[in-house]
Amino acid sequence: MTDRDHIDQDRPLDPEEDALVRALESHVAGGRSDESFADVDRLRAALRTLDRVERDAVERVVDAAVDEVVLASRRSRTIDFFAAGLRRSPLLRVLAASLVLHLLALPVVAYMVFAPEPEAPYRIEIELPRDLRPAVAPRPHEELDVERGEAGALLRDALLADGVESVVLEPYAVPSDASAIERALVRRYATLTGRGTVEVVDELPSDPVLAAIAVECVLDRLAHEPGSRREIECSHGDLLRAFEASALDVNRDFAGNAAVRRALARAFAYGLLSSGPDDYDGLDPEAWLAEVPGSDELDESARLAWARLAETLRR
Amino acid sequence: MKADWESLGDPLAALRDGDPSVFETFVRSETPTFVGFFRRLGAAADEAEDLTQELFVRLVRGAPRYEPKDRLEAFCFRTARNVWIDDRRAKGVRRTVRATVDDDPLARVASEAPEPDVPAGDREEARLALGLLAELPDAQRLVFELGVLQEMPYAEIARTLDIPVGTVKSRMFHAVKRLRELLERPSRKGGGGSAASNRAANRAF
Repeated sequence: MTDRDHIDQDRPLDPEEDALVRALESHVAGGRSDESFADVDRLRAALRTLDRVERDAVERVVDAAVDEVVLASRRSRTIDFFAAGLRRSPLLRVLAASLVLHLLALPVVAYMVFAPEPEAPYRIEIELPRDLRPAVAPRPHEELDVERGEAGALLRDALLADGVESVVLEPYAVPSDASAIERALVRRYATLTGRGTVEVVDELPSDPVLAAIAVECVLDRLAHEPGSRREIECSHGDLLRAFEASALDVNRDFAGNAAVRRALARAFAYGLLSSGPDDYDGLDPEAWLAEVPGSDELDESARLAWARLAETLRR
Repeated sequence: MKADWESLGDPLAALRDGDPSVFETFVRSETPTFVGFFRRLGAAADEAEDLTQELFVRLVRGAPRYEPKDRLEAFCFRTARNVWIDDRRAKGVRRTVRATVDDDPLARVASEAPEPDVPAGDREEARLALGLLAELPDAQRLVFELGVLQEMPYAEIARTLDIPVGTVKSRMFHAVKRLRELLERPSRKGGGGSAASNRAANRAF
């Protein structure tokens, strides 16, 4: 039978059909006996034999129903007991409310205890360390999200394998707005701490202080790596000789500068120059910085950094 | 049968008020009614017993909230209908087309014998009658069951099934018409009534 047939069979009956159905209702209810429904009667009688059920089956159903009644009664008595207790005692009400709150909080606590640790933030913070930028104004950290891209994922995995959550890169570059003397000081600081490379300069800076700092950087490298003497003599020999010649040029008044004099004395003491002042009294960055013209304008963090370095070298 | 329900007093109201004895008597007396109800809808004998248990369990559980708005009979058969629908849904049974005896649960039920204490002749009559009933669509079978077997007035069937009275009448009309067509079939032997009286009745329906 199709859906259409079902819909059709739910249609309103015409008056004749309706009368017949009402007659059937009356016949079934016993109000009016109608012989035309004899077949329905026989069908009904036959189907009613299915109402005969074995006594055992009836007892099983009764037992199940009675069991449910007993269970429901116990549930009801338990609920009534607690309800009566709550009605009587305000303290019990407070305790019950507390219990409910604790139960409600339990999943949250369980989550906090058993939930896996959130993954570490995968990012690299790039900052200019304060002790490497003596004259540079503080600026905000630059953050690089390494989650993007395959390279970032590889770097993240490598860092996590070492238990590192983040890394601070220490660039030697200084901002473009730094002055020439500030750049030179940063370079020297980096060389002194073994983190910088000595630039090969073709031409000696015309400024005597910048020239002295360039020479000091070369000497710092040698102090750090005594084995690099030959290499330094090759790569920076011209620079050193030019510095020596400039210092001797009375017209440029190089030798009158304390920083220049100190660099000359140190280069002579290291055996890189054939002549020079013989009063080099050792590496003391803090004392040296005090002799650099303009260094008194450096900010406090820069001074602190140099002082820390001096202390480290003395140790 | 249903007259007894009223004379017992409302078993659910009594249960709600803490007196289970009336309900127990009600269960004992009406278990056959509901076993027969479920069997005629298509349940096997053991299924019908389980469904009847489930019906009474539901009635017990709902008793604390029971308010006698309808007649008890309508309330109980509505609950029984819901138990039946839930059971079919749970078992994934859905009759859409006529099936063979092998895969149609109703046809299978029709082939089963009624209870052992039923005389052999009556048993055969019941088997054939159940086979005819199995030919009806679910909606018509339920209306026929409530109207003819349970003798409920159409208005009460409408309330029980939550459908208009006109729909009840229409389904009853087509149910009886279909049953008479089936009785007319030559293959049906002893299905009920003489061929002449059936033909006469079928002209009316």
